[in-house]
Amino acid sequence: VTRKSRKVERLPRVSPKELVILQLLGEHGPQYGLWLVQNSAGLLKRGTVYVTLGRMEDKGLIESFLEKRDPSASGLPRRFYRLTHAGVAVVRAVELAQALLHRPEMVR
Amino acid sequence: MTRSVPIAQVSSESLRGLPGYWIRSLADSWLEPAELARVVDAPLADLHAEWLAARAAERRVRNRWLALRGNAALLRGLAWFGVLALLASLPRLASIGLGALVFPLGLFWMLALAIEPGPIEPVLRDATIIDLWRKPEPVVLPVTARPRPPKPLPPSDRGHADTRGWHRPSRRAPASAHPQRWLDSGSGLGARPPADSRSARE
Repeated sequence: VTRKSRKVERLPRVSPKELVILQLLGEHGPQYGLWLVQNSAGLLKRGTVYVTLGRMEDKGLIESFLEKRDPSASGLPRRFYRLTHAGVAVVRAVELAQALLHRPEMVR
Repeated sequence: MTRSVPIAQVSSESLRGLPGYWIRSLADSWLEPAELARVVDAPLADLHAEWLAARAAERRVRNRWLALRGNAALLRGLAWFGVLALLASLPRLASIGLGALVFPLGLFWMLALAIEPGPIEPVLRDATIIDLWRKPEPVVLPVTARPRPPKPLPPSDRGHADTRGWHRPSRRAPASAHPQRWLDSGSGLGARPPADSRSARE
């Protein structure tokens, strides 16, 4: 048995705010930061949501892209966020864990 | 580690007159492009979209309120980002501080071991150690035995011989006071001793 094979892979840590963002993006598809704030029922704040989004991007749970628009339009282009494969897996794992916790009869 | 993110190719001058222009200009000088795009440009893009929509609808009060609120949120986001960056760099700062403390101490210890003197003679060691709190012991001088004067002889009742060889009685008591001499003097039995010898005996 090698040391590498015994190494346990750590599960990704997800904070409650990150979980809200993951669930919103999972339900509604790619969205921008302000939309997430407006649809989180007060769980997300304008001042901190972008830092949280950046941290989730570093974790590999989401990825961002710029909106396509007319180059002559004024202002900065909006940044949209969507789930990665890892983010989708985390959302499903969390949903499954919540279902198992609330319905123990599912566990054999 | 910051992942690469798509960065909007927008010049700062094109944003002049829009809310958050000065904050973005300041943040541009001390943030990397990826961090700027993530922390400043993302909220600023949403603010610009809101603000431009309100301006198109000619809602001036809402326009100013959005600018004020957007700038405050931008500053709060920057402060939050700074705190998180500081917390993330704490282990590195702690390791640097620990190294800065341990390395000079280790160097000092090695030098101290290198110049440590060997064992010294006990005499020199005792001479160099001064115990300030020890009570000094009293000095005892050697005492030499002095010759004692001769004891004076007790006075003799038998008298002594004078220069002519004649026996002279003692000065302390007359000759008649001695009972033997009184007998030798031929006074006879039954005779009363003289009054001076009786008083001497008493």
